[in-house]
Order: sequence, then C-alpha cells, then structure tokens
Amino acid sequence: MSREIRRTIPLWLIMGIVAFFLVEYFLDVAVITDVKSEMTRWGTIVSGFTIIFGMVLLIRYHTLQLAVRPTSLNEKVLSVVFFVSFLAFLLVGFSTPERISGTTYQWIYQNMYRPAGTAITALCFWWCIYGGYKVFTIRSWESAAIGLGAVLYMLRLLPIGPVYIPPLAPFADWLLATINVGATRGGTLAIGAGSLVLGMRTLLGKETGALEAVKEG
Amino acid sequence: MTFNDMMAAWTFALFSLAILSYLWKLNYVYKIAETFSVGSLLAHTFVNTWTGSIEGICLKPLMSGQVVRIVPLIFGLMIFTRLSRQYAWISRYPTALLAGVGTGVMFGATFDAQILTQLAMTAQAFIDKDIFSALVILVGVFTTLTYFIYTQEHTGAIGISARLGRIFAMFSFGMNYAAELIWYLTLVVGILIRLVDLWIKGAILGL
Amino acid sequence: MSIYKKLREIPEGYLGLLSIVFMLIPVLYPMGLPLQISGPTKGFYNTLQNLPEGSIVCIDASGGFASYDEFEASITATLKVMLSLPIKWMAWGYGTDGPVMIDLILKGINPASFGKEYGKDYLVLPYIAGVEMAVAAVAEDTQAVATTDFYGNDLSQYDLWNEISGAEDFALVLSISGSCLNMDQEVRQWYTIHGLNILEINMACCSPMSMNYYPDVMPGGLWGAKGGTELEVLSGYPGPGARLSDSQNLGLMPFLLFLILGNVGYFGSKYLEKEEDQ
Repeated sequence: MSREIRRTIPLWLIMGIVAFFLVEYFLDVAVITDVKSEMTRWGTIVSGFTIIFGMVLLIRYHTLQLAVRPTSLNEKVLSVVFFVSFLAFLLVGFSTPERISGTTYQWIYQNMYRPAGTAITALCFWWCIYGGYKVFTIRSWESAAIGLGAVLYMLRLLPIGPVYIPPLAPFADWLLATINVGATRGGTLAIGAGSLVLGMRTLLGKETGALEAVKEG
Repeated sequence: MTFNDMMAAWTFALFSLAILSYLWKLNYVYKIAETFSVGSLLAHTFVNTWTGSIEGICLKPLMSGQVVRIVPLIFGLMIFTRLSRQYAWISRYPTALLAGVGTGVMFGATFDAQILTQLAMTAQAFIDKDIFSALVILVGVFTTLTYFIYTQEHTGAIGISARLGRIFAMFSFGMNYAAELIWYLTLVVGILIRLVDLWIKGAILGL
Repeated sequence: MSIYKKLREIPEGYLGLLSIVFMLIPVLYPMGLPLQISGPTKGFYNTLQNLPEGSIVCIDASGGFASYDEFEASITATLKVMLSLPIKWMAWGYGTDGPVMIDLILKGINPASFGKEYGKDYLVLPYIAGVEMAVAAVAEDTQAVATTDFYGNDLSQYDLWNEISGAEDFALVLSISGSCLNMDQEVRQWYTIHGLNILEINMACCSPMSMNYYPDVMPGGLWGAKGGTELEVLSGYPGPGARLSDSQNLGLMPFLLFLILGNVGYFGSKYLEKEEDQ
C-alpha cells in the first residue's frame, strides 16, 4: 500500500491527466473542455508555487552559508548582499498597491537590476568572438559552411554590409529563407517526432523521471 | 540634470562597470554585483508570481466563492514537503499534476503544429516560391532528417544524405551564431551609449 | 614559433580591446547609414495595417529585462503603430518582465496623444506562471486567469476586459519572446487549436529558427534592434533603434579581421608542416 501511495498513484495521475487532455483535443464536448480549462489553470497555480519553492531553496542555501557552514568571511558577505538585495526589492515591491509598477520599485529595478543583468549577458560577446576566432577555420566542408553562414548573415544584419555590398541583402535573405529553413524545418520535424514519442511514453506510464527525482528518507 | 537623474546615472554606471570588470579578471566586486542581481531578480520573480499567479488566480477567486481553487492551493503547498526527507514523497502529487498538465497541453497539438504544418509549408513553397528555392528547402529538410536517424548506420546513400544534412545544419548554426553575436553586440553598444551619454556627458561633465 | 602559429594564438585581450574601440567610434561619431527593410518587417507592418477596425490583438509578452535594448525599438515602434490604428490590444506576461517592458515603453510614448484610453482601447495584465500552460489558459478562458491588471486595479471595471472571453475574440497574436523555442508553443496553442496567426518580436538570435513559420503561420517578425529600426523607418515613427543600429556598424570588424588572420595562420601552418614533411 505504501508503494501504491508513494509511486503508483502519482504515475496514474500523470497518465490519467494526459489521456484526458488528449480526449479533449479530439472531442468537442463543452463539459470536458471546461474541466480541461480548469485543470490548466491549476497547472499555472502549481507552477507559481514551484517557482516559490525554488526561491525557498536558494534562501535556505544562503542561510546555511551564513549560519551553519564554515565559510570564509568573503562568502558570508556575499550571502549578506544577497539578503539585502532580496529583502529590499521584496519590501519595496509589496509596500504599495501598484506593486512592481510603482515608481520606487521601477527606479531600483531599472537602475540596479537592469544594468547588472544586461552586463552579465553582454559579457558573452567577448567570449563568443574569441571562440569564433579559434573555431571558424576552414578545416572541412562543415566548418566552411558554419563560417560562411556566420559571416554572410553577420554582414547582412549590420547596416554597413548592404550599403557597401549591395547584392548581400537579397542573397543573405535568400539563404535565410531556403538553406536555413531547410535545416531548421528538419530539426523542428525531428523535435516534433521526439516530443510525440515522449508524450506517448508519458501516456503509457513509462516516463518516471520527474517522480524518481524525489529523494526519500 | 536633476538629483534623481544623477543618482540613476551613477548607480547604472556602478553596476555596469562592476560586472564588466570581469573582463579584466574574476574579482570580488564582480561577485558582489552578481549576487546583488541574483537577490533582486529572486525578489522580482516572487512579487510577480505571488501577484499574478497565486493571488490573482488562486486566492482571490477562492475568497470570492470559487471553492474548487482550494485543490491547486493544497497541491501547491504539498510541494514544500520536499524539504523533509521523511515526507518528500508527498511532493510527487503536485509534480504529477504539473507533468500531466504540461504534457497534456502540448501533446495533442504537437503533431499538427510541428509535423503536419511544417510538411504543409514545405509543399506550399512549391507554389509560393520559385522551383529552385523550393527544391533547396525540400533537400534541406530531407537530408537534415536523415542526419537524425540513429537506428541506421550512416553509410551508403543514407551516409551521403546525412553528410549533406549536416552541412545544411552547420550553415544554419552559423547564421544562428551571427545573430547571437548581434544580440550581444546590441547589449554592449547599449551599455556604451548609456555610459557615454548619461554618465560621462551627463553626470560627470554636466553637458 | 612561426608567424602563422602566432596568428592563430593572438591573445583575447587584443580582440576585446579593439572591439571596444571600434564600437565607440560610431557611438561618438554616428555614421547614419540607411537600412534595407526586410520581408518579415514588411509583413509585420502590413498585417497590422490590414486588421479590420475594432479587432483585438493579444500580446503574449515575455523577454528578459536584461535584453531590453534588443526589444525597446521593436516594442516602441509596434505599440506606436497599434495605437495609431483603430484596433485594440491586451498584453499579458508569461515571462516576469514582459508587462514591465510594455509599461515602461507606454510611459514613454503617451497613448493619450494617439487618442487611446486605458481600459477601453488597451489593457496590461500581470505575469502568469506556467509558460505553455499559461498560454493555453489565456487562450481558452481569458477572464479566468486574472482578476487585477498589472497596476493592481480590478479588471471588471474595464470595457475591453468585458469584451474578451478567449481566443475567439482575438484577431491576431503578437508574441514578444525571449526564447527561440517559444514560437513552437505559440503555434501549438494559438494557431493549431484556434487558427490565429502570430507575429513575433524576438531577439536577433532567434530569427533563423523562427523563419520556419514564415510566412504562412507567422506573416511577419521583428528580430533585435535592427527589426525595430526597420519598423521605425517603415512606419515613420522615429525611435531609439536608429542610434543603436548605427552604433553597431563597426563593432564586429575586428572579429572579421581576426577570422581572416586565423585562417591565414591555419593554412600557413599546414603548408609549412607539409614542406617540413617533404
């Protein structure tokens, strides 16, 4: 009975829900559609709780860093910084009825989070160009293809390319619409087939990865 | 420049340069700025999620009489049992709900959207475009698909087709790489424009 | 070490520094080069222009605020075009920053100057968790997924909110996305089930993957700052895109130079090795 409650019933729940949604997709019955819509909303609500659970884990990690683990002063200061920023944004966010649309929140979000977030992503620029310099040598047909595709499309996207090389724009647009589409469409078809297989395995109760990830005592 | 604008410019410059200092080497100033952004993003996500999903779709309707919303509330709270080794198995139920609903919403439409629609558009190309372009697309689709066949050894005709498909795919990856580089370039240029206009010209030089 | 090997191992600091210098040149001295408008941008503009009067557009907004520079020009130009047309729109977020970006841009463009009123002509809803589940929920029963708007106000007081029940009330979907895989989910939930076409605003890196659906499912798209700049030029509404696009012009020239040097180094090294073997 313990095994049924802990593993078998959740698995049946997955299979039942997927089967129900599949039936709804092919049948046009109002009651079934209403139940399916309500269950979809349940999914969005539970997703919200899952996101909050992730936050709880990160807060727990930093709490342990500060209070329990034998970490260096530098690491402890980082955890303090984490809590300061988290609590500051949380307090400002909930302090007014407008929540995140409030003026103060928008000020701190745009002038503190946005520059840091943008710069973190922007750092990838330098790693990307150095990686490209090292990798894009014409060693084979494949590397020639990747290098040529990169250079042609790069020049098309910059305003300077079509101005100084007029045939570049229509040619690069043609490459994007034919060779690129051929490849990505093949990839999309393969992904679609893979998704169908995954869905069938979930329907038949063979995909237990999500349930196995829960470690029990 | 008002005091508010001055503070905004200096704060922007401080955080941007702290992160960009990584280009010199990984340093403590970068780590502080990075940790700060993680904490702020976490709070931002919490406020958004609470307001939109939990308060908006669950608690408020529940308070106004939609009793059925107690079910996702209970399922949502069950997730937190994962923190206890003894009761972690309870969190399998909300996980099952999420896995079931997540798979269910996409399963039915996948065949139509990602297989039939793609095949239809490949055929439609023979009507909308010139014959050469349509043939290139068809060859690209077919050869890329053969590249993803893992149950047959890539020799003979399949081998040639898979090799051609790989070349098509590499061309597409190159275009993806270029577009990604432009994305990063946009962000870097955006930072530089703001540093020059707001911080150097505005806050420091007072222009 | 031979010169060819040195060309293959130039330290990354030189490339990085040169890139910054080349990027700064057009920031300080704009080049003002013209843009060539691409087919997807024309399709994007024409699709909006051809919407019947009174149509309602659903804006599924995601995208990270950290990439705001990529989205600013596109969203600004699009909202200006939509506010100038006799259509209505409702925006909501399946990413936390979608409604934030739209609200920020709306504050800058002042919809009242286009004669539009909040709640009657346009609405901004908050973030709803669940990604594809959230899209499905909005498409099936829009009124059941939110009770307050992005600003914390009760939605039932707004005329536009009372006109919308689900996908059947929308004429078009505009997806503002921060991921290259979101188009698949939009197609599954909006096009396949409800038959609605989708316009896309996304980062530049997603244009090759989104072209899969162009033009039958996705009649048009704006990718990156360049897409936004093209729409600014096409629609006649100037915005932040022109300066950004212009300033990108020289930023990748050092990279292209290093690419050539790297290949010269590679082939030169190979030639020398062959000579030594002989």
